[in-house]
Amino acid sequence: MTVERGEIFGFLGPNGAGKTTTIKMVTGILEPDMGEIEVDGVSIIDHPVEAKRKIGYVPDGADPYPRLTGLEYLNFMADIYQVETDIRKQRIPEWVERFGMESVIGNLIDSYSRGMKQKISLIASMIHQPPVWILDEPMVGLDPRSSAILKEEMRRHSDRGDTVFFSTHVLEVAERLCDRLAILKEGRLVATGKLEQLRKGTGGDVADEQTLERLFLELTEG
Amino acid sequence: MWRALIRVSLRSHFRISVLRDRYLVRKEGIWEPLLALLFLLCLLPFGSLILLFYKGIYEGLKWAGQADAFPVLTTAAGLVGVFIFGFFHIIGTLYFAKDSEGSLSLPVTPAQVFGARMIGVWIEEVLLLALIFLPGLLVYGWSEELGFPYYASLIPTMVILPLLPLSLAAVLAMGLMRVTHLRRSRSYLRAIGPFLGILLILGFQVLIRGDWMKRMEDTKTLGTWLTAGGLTETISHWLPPATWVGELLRLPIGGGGGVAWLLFLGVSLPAAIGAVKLADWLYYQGLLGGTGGMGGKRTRADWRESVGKESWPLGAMFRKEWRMLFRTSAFLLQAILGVLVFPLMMFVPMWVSGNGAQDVADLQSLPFMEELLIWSGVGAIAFLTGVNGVSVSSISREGKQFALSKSLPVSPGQQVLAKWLLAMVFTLFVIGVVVAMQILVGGGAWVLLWTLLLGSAAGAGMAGVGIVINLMIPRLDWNTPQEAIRGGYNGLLMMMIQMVVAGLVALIVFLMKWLDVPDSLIYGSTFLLLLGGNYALYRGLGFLAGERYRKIEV
Repeated sequence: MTVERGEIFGFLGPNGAGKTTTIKMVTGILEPDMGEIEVDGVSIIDHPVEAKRKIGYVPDGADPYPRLTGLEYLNFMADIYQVETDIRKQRIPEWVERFGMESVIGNLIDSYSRGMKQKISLIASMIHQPPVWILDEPMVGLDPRSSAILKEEMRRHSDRGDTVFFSTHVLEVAERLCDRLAILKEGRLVATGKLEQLRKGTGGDVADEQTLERLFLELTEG
Repeated sequence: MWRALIRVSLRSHFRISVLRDRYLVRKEGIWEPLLALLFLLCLLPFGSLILLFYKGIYEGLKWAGQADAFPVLTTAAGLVGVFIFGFFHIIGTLYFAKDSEGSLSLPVTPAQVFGARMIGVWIEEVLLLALIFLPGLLVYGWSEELGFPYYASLIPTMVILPLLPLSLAAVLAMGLMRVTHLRRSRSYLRAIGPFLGILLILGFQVLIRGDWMKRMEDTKTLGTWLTAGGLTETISHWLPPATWVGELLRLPIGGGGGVAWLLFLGVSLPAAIGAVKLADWLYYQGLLGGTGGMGGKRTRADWRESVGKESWPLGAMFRKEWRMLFRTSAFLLQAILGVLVFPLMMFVPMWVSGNGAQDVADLQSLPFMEELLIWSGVGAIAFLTGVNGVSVSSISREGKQFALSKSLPVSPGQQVLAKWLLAMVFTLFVIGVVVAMQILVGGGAWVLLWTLLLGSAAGAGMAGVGIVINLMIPRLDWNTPQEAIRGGYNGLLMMMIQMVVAGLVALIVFLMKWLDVPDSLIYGSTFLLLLGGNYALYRGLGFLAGERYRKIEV
């Protein structure tokens, strides 16, 4: 499977299909039993540090280091991704304000709600403006305003020529946002392609025009 | 309902599902149970020491004609021990375990949840009694040549004995948590346990150095002291269950034993039932206290100025490790106590007894004082670096966040180096304590210099070994932070390695002394040897971290 530069790629599948496991392998958290994974042309297995530098990652149920404050965590991530001082001084306040986190940014992450942890993880993943932005169920826990901001940022990221790869259960989001989709079932890809291709049956085992929901159900049931 | 709750509670308490998944399903680390068995075998000499200890007390009491007081005293010690340690155990299990709030939304009563969770604590306390106090009662049975009924009574007695102290401790714990609504201050309660341990150790030290010890120089005077002052009568007055247990074990059912059984059961069982009933009023209110709202202060208006300057990833990793340790009270207190416990044990009794000046003069008169100070100082630094738990828990402390660390573009070698540097901070702290003690007893510049050099090298080595152990046997699925920092078997493994390394270094030094090598050359060559070992460890650790970071799954 290849995700092209500059596209928004949606990763769909029922619970337990292997979406998070795949994402963990792409981000270097899990070691694949076989096969190759390249991020922006760099092998995550042979050159893990170099490949990880190209990724901004938001894990499923984000739970950053609880004993750091939000701001300490963002500074930490900026150091880890070696973001220059001028750039971080501009980007961190900009993102913090955009997600409405100013009043709690000095508090310990331990005291954050689930949505706040999600937002701080989103900001941290974007400080170094990665060529590949990987998000695992990013809408979970976000309020409608933050969710709208995130969708807007995903589109903007793609427009800059960078890649967005995300898993989701929200089919409307995938339908509206994704350039291409992949549907996973029991660890295997059952369909890949543009939504129109899938609908016309050229991307998988689907015969006629259907909504994404019906496609999803047909491909993942039975 | 009860059965389901108890089953889940026990699985969580004893990690049954986790262990089954690890050893039987995924078949990972199947050598670990064998290692545990090896450790248990290593504890056998400790068991024989306990038997000798009880035998000494028994003989003392027998000489004083008070042998029957032995089971009463042993039971009283067991009741008090279960109450004190059970109290902290209960607080940890009921209020601070990660899954403590999981049952709040279930259609079950607080009493049912309390009862199910307490069964795990009860079983652990029974095991503790079996390890520490059962040997005493066995010694009594053998020495008095008691028959089968005595040994048959021991098992139900051991099982029922913790019920009363645990019920009292649970009511006290629930009452305390009900009135302390500030969750933030509660985090310190989690870590008080080690302090209590230190107080007990210090108290014991003071006792040993004080006049009381003179009375215990032989078994006869011990027996006289224990009985002449009416100690047994006092215990009987304040802790009647101890007397009942003594009687139910010694006397036949028809000759007073039956009445003792009735009294023992008549108090223990209602106490347990009463605690469960009280949980309906106390447990959930205490568990929920202070959980509402953000609980944090408002961020300063000028927070934008705190956006930091660029720094190296290694520095960032080190700061992260530092903050995670220093801001988790259980981690910090355990680490500091690990450093301070032995120096306190040595010096406080000296001050208490008022013989400090004489002890120092005696030490200074030794012809080999310098060597003694240097090697004992180096040994202390290496030992305390190992036992403070910082290095041996360096991976485990990350818990679930280890997955996040794995996703960072920082090599495992660098991440582990940051952990090593943090462990060295505590080694420097230990060096400071040791050097201060050396100055107090008159150690000169020569002593301080070599202690500093050799101690740093030995401490760094031990910190590295601790990280190697934790890389090989990490525990990321902990439920309470104490489980991570105490290290369990890893701590024991560390001590065994320390003994082997200390033996090797002692052998090398001994050989050089035997060959009449000058002291400065011995120190210098040992220092170079340790440096060489540390360099090899550094290289090996980088490689091992790369391998293990890929394999360890969260």
